[in-house]
This record gives sequence, C-alpha cells and structure tokens, in this order.
Amino acid sequence: MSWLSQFFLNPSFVLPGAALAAVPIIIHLLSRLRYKKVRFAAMEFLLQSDELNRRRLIIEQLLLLLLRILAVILIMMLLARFVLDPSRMMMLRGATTHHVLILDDSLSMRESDSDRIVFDRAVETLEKMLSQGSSRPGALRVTVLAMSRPDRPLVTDRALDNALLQELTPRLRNLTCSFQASLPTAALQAAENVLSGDGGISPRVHVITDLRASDWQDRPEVAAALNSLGAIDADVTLVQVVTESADNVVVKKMTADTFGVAVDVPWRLNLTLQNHGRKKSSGLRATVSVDGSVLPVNVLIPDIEAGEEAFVSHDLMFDSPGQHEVEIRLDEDALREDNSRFVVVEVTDKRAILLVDDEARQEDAEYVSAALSADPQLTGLATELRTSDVLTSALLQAYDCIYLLNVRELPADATELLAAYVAGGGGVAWFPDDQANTTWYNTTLQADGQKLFPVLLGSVQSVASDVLQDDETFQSPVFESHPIFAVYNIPDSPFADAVQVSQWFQTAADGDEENKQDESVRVLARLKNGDPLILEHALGRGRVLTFLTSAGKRWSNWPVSPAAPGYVVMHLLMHQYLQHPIKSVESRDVGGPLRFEWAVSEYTESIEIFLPTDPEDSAADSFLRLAASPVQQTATGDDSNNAVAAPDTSPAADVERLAVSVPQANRPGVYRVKRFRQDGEGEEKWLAMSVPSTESDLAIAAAAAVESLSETGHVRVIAADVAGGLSGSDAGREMRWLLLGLLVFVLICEQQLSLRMSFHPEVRT
Amino acid sequence: MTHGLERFLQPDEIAKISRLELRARKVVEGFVSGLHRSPYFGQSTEFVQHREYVPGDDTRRIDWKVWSRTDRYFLKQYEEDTNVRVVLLVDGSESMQFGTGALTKFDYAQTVAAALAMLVLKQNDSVGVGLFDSQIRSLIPSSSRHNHLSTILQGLSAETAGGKTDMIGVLRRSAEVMSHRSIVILISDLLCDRDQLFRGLQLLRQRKHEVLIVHTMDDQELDFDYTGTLRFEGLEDGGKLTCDPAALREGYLNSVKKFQETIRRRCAGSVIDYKLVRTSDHLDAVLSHLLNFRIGMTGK
Repeated sequence: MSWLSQFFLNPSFVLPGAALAAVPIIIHLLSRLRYKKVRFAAMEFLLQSDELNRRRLIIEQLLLLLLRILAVILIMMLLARFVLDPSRMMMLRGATTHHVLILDDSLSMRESDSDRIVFDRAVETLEKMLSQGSSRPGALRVTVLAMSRPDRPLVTDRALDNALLQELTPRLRNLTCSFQASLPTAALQAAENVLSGDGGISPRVHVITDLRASDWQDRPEVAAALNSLGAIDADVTLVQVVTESADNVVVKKMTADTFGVAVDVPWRLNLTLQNHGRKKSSGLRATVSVDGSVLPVNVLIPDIEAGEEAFVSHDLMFDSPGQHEVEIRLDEDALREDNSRFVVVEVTDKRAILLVDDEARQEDAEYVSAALSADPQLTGLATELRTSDVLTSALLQAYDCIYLLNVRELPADATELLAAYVAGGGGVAWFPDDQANTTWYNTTLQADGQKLFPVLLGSVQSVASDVLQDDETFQSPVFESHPIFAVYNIPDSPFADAVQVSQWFQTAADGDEENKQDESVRVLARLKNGDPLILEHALGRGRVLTFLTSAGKRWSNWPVSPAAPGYVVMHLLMHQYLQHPIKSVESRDVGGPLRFEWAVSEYTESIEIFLPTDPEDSAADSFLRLAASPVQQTATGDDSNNAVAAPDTSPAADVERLAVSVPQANRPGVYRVKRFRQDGEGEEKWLAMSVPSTESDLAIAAAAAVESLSETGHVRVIAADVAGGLSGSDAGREMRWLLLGLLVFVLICEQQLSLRMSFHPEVRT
Repeated sequence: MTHGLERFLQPDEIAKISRLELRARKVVEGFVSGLHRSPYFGQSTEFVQHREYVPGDDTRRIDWKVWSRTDRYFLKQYEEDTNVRVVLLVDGSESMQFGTGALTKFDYAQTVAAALAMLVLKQNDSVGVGLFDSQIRSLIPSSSRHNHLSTILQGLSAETAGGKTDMIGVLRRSAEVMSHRSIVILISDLLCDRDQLFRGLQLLRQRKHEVLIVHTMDDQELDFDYTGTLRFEGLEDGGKLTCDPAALREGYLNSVKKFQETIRRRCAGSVIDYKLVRTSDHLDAVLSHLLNFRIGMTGK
C-alpha cells in the first residue's frame, strides 16, 4: 500500500475511510428492509402516485445515495490529507505534465562555493527534482538540456521513471560546466519549441541557475522569451542555487598593438582589469607565463574601486623565434577561470617591410628606412628597398606592410597582386610625387574591387620658399586623432608645428565633392588651407594610408630636423598600424563551436589539433586528428569561426571548400592546429582562447525583479533548498481548500435533494 | 373554552363515551344547546293560514275561535303539515375501519347516524337505517315512534365494519325497498367504483328521493402526513406498497383532490347534496348541514 503515500499524507485513514463510504449504502438498504406496516383504505390513490413517480424517485434516491457516499469520501480525503498538484489532476484526466529542465552551465556557475563549484550543487538539485518526479511513473515527461547547448538536449520528451533516472544520473554526474557565456534566451526558446508541439499537456519549465543579474535583469530578450513561454501556458520556475553575490576581479581584456614581434624587441601587453565586487580591491598581483613558464616578475595591479576598471601595461621580450604562448593570471578569487587570459605571439628574427621607390636615387626610401630600422636590434624591423618590379616577383605576404614611394604607375599584374595583398589584410602606404601618372592613379587605382587609391589626384601645389618661411598658414598640417599620430595628438605637442609642407597634390575637382561623399575615405590630416594631406581607407581586410606629399625632404621638412623625431615615431606606428595580420596566431573568447574552413587547394582534409590540457587529462585527451569534409560554398565573413581562412585569397563562389568543427575546443588555453599543404608540408597555427569577461559580474538578480519580467505572473523564483518539496506541499494546500469547498457543495446539494424528497408537516396551532 | 354540552361535539370527547345511545344523545343535546333558533319544525308551531273545512278533515284542527265569531268552520294550516321520511345508509365496509384519530370512519359514521336519527325522531319524523357492505347487512325500517330510536341504536351498535363494498347493489336494493319519497342520507367513504356509485344514486333520484351524501374521510387520507419508510396494506384487498410516503405525497394528494372533484361535480350534476367531513371535524357540522338541507326542502 505504499503507493497510497503518493497521494495521502495520512494514508492510514484511507482504508477505514473507504469502508465508511459503504455506510450510506447499508443505511439505504436497511431502511428498505425495516419498515412499519400501515393498513390503509385509500390505496388506489397511493398506487396511482407510485406509478406516476416511480422512475423519478429511483433516480433521485440514487443521486442522494451518491451524494452521501461522495460526502463520506471527501471527509475521508480531508482527514487523510489528500495531496494532488495540478499536474496530478491532468494525470487523472488522462494527460501528463511535460517538464523542461534547463541546467545553467555558463561560466559563472563555476563560482567556488567552499570546496566545490556552484554547478555541482545545481546538478544535485536537478537530480533531486528528477528523483522525486520518478516516484510518480507515467505522470511526467521530461526534457533536460544544458543552457550552453540548447540544441542538444540530454533527453527529449521522455517519460520520467526509474529507468530514465538510472540512465540519466551518470550522465549528469559526468557533465562539466562550460567556460562560455550563455544567456538564458536560447535555452528558453528551445524549451518553448519543445513544449509548443505538445497538445493536451501541462507545460512547465525549470531553470536551475545562479540567477546572475547580468543574465536575467534588464534583458528585454530574456523577458520576451519568458513571456513567450507564458503565451503557451507554461509555468517557469527559476531554481536559485546561489543566494549571495561574490566579489570578483577579472582580467577583462588583454591586447597588444601587434602580435607579430621580433626577437629581443620589447613587446607591450595592455591589460584591462575590472573589479565586479562591492569593495575596493587592493594588493593584487598577476603572474606572467610564457610557454607555460612563470616569469620571475609579477605585474603589480593598482587598487581598483568597486565597479571600476584599471589599465596596466607590461613589456615582454622573446628570445627565440616561433609562436609563443603568453598567460596572465591574477590571484585567485570566487571565479578563478576569469583570472587568466591567453594570447599567442608570432616571434621572428626581424619584421620585414618592403619599401618600393621608383625614384632613381631612392632618397625618400632611405629616409623611411632610416626611420624604421636605423637600429634593427632596437626596432626589430628589416626594410627592403626595391623598385616596383618586385611587386610581381616577390611573395608580398612575407612583408608586414608595403611603402609605395614615388611610383609613376604599376603594371596591371602588380596592381592586382597589390590589391589582393591589401584585401587579405596587408597594409600599404602611398607617397606619390610629381612623376606620378595621374591618369593611371585616377583610373586603374579607382577600379571597382581594387580601389587602392582613395581620391582622384589633381595638380601639384607648392608654396614659394620665402612664403614658406613667413606665412605659417601653409607650414603645418593639422592632425586628427589617430594611432599613428600619437606623438602629434599629445596636447601642446611641439612636433606638429615643426612639420612644414611646401609641395603637395591637390585632389581633383577642387573642393573634392565626389570624395566627400565617399564615407570610406577618412582624412587624417589637412594643411592649414584645408587641403587634405593624409588619407586612410580600407580595402577588404587591409588598410591603405595615402600621403599627398613625398616621404623625403623634397616636398617637406618632415624627415629632417626639427620635424624628424615625429617622423620616426609616426613611421614606427605606421608599421604597427599597417601590419599584416599574423596568420599563424589568433586570440578569441571561448564560445560556440570552433570551426575551421579552407579552400581545397590550400590544405588537405587532414587536421591535427593539440588541446590545452589539465593535469588530470591523459595524453590521449590532448591530441585530435580530424578529417574535414566538403561544404557548400557559403558567403565569406564567418571569420569568427573560420580561424584559418586564407587571408590573401578571396574565395570565388565556385571554389571547393573543406570544413571541420572541433566541439572539444571548449575550454580556455592555447590550441595548436596543424594542417598540411598539398605538397605535404605542415603549417601550424596557434589559437589562444580565453573565457568571456561578460560572465564575471557575479551579482545576483533580485527575485522580485526577475518575476516581474513576466506579464502574466507565471515566473517564480525559488531557492534550491525548497525546490524538491515545493510542488507537493503547495498542491496539498490547494487541494485542502478545494476538498472543503467540494464537501460543502455536496452537503448543500444533499440537503436540498433530501428536503425535496421528504415531507415536513406544518405545525398546527 | 368549550361550553357544557357543546364539548361533546368534539370527536375526542365523544370517543370517550362507549355507548352509542349516550353518544348520540350528547351530540344532539350539544348541538341543540348551541342553536339560537329551535331546530324543531312541523305541526302546531309554524301557523301559515286558515282554510274552510271540508268533510274528511281532522276535526281536531278546527279553529273554534273563528267559528265563534263567524259561525263557519275553518281549519288552521301550519308550515309543515306532512311527516318526513329519512333513511340513513351507513357504509360498514372494511375501508370504514380505517382511522388515525379518536374515531374510525365507521365510529364517526355510526355516531353521526345515531345523532341524526335522534334529531329526526324528535321532529316526529320517521327514520330508517340501513347498514351495508357488499349488501345490506341490517335494515331498520322507517318509523316515527319514540321507541324506534332504541331499535336504531341497538342495530347500529351491534355492527362492525367489514367486507367489500358493492354500492350499486346496495343502492338498487334500497331503492326497491323504499316505497315512499324519502330523504336518503348516505354516510360512506365512497371508496368504491364511482360509476356504480352514481348509477345507484341515479336510481334513488329517479324514484324522487332526496339524496344527501356525507363523505367521511380520515385526516390521513386527506393530508397524508406519513413519514419514514412504511408498508401500506390496503383494506378491501387494495394491494400492498412499501415506500417513502413523503416522496409520494404530492402525487397522492393530487389523486385525492381529483377524486373529490369528480364526486363533487357528479353530485352537482345529479342534484345530490354532498358534504365532506373529516373524522376530526365537530359532529354538529353534519347535523347543521342536515338542518339546512331540511329547511331548504320546505322552502321549495
């Protein structure tokens, strides 16, 4: 009789109560057997009445008997404390309840809670809910899904019974919390998709979550998803596994001006840290590891007020060429995963820069070369002075950037190669002089798809030397705020006024109405008469800087004193700004499936991946060999997932491509990806993945605020401690009142019916 | 408060008197003491006019005072100058045995019959009594002698209720027996075939008898106030029924009402006087009704 305990809190009352239900029947039968005899004269009238009313009397008596039995049963159910939640009632009508359980496995669930993480408690709560539900076989159907993978539920629409519980429990215990940011929106929408197809069931959604304010508050999309669930009559219960907000400091961002550096050249790492706690953080330090070895020098972090950010720079040098892994790790706090970030750097002996100068003496190129690599040991840059013939004979991708000085015009194939180089991410700087073929500049370089020059060139303007000395309005350019003008953008910088320009190209059609309409072209500096001097525009993934004056001293005093210091700094910054993306390294945040895609002609289908490892992982866990499969040609632009798309090729629509997804790439660290060219030579790319900083704010949302997101009040927040027993006790209270109301109704009906069927003579006075 | 002899008009009180003669006497005395006008009617009390004597007239009725003044013979004429014959037909069938109050229907009918007989004899009218069930069990011929009352009372008190009712046979037989025009008072519960009843009554009417029906019913027959589960067993083989009477009450009362309406309507159609009495009603009700009925007859 243990099954009775599913329905009654006092099951011992049930059987005696059921026996009492027979009492009205017994009384009814006894009353038919025990009667008084009356000798009566006017029987004919009595028999007539009996004949007329017999059927009605039988029905009324049966109804009265049923009402009395029902009253006894209701009293018994009240005494036995009948518990039945609405889903039970659905079950009694032949329907079931479909519960969708969403397990929050976003990064914030990794918050340390004593000796374990919050996610473990969430799994325990989920197991408890499932375990209690399985004691009612046939009544419930469940779907279980993780918030980070709503498209791949653990189970979908299965009847909850012991068999399912035994199958699911080990899977839940092997489940690990993800390292990625996950908004509840996708999971709630997935739940809606699962539930909206089920007719005649009672839908319920349970989200076992840490209820972070960043995920649940002030999120219109989350409110919309919750209200969509309300529209299909689904009750949403947010089971809160964390009640206290924890302090947390995060390395929010780690950047550098370049990820391609030379050996023994200082490389600056810029750190952004944020304090998400409620009190000031102080005394923090960060360790720096290069290729897994912790450097002896720590980074000192300044005090950070609550909610504020801090910016720290740190210089590193690498003593050997190749890819290097750099990790910054803060002191441990509530969420240790966001205390570290990774980047990878490609280190070479020197960074190559191509200087193309078609002027016979190449004097201008000498100035630029001197600025960039006067001391190659110091800058790590190696310039190569060539004429424009080199553009068709050399591999342009080998150069960080290309300077085009005094070029009259280029052959068509050189122009195409140059355009492809820029489109793939390369950087070009133009310095035309009076030998330039303006017709070629204004036609060929303006062609669609290879617009390598930003404006139409006009005539060369000059200022007489005597005027130059006297009229300051023509002496100095006015610089916009830009990374390459760092030295000129300093307030009250003396360097800007030191620059004197005596000759320059005017743009065609004075006033340049057409170019003003071209929003892709930005004027970075103008002469004081308003003529543009330095322009920037983009082509594909690359950048083009255009100077409308020469790089040497023929048209300006820029490379010579007193303007020379600014000239040197500007060219060094120009190199960083124009630098070709480093193909062999990349940094990104964990999130979404890691996917590689490439042209068939570029690499074979085989790909090898070395994963970052934990000390607990075996060697087999750290290596993957996968085979890519052909894919339909898709529009390019999925670079976020396409780690190794060839930068120097713009895939045509008919190019066959291969793709592979790496679901195992779901944790922070450095992944080494090796692919093989068609000639068999391997090419390695290092991919640094860090946890997203959006999960670092551990503030807990106010339950009332989250509940108010729903327009129909179908969302409620409960603590994990009461999640298991809530359904039963709550439903029991409702049933008690329901039973009482039903009993009163039955008794009133019984009285009405018995009054109608009985005779109460008036008292005669 | 009931005064003196009038209390004997209540069935509860009269039921305490076992002898029928005493019952009748108490009823009549109670009835008479309550009247402001003398109930007696007939000879020497109600003078109407004089008429001239013709040979054969009773010389005792000559008004000698008129003769002394006019020297002619005149007779006094009174309001009632002929004797009335009253025949009381009392139902003695088994159904009359039923009663839930102080008196059964038969007791009530006996008492009423005795009281009526006494009242009639006091008028010097003649009265006869027939007691019947399926046949006339005892018949006391009409007579106006003073000692006739004791004969009637003995005859009535000697009988008990029993047997089935055969109304047509009884009435036909009565019609044959009664040679003079009479007032026939039928005291019965009328639980018999209605068509036969009225065919019999029609026979009496055809023979110029005045008919008065005293329909005697018990309170429970009219009100049906029973409660609880009961088993009804019919008198005169009326069948059996176990039921909750409260549930059937409404239908029963409708049937009774319909029955009464039928009787009343058909009596009116046959110019038969009809009086429904409950066994709990005061007994003077019947006597008053008879008195009114008698006055109505003389006024015709």
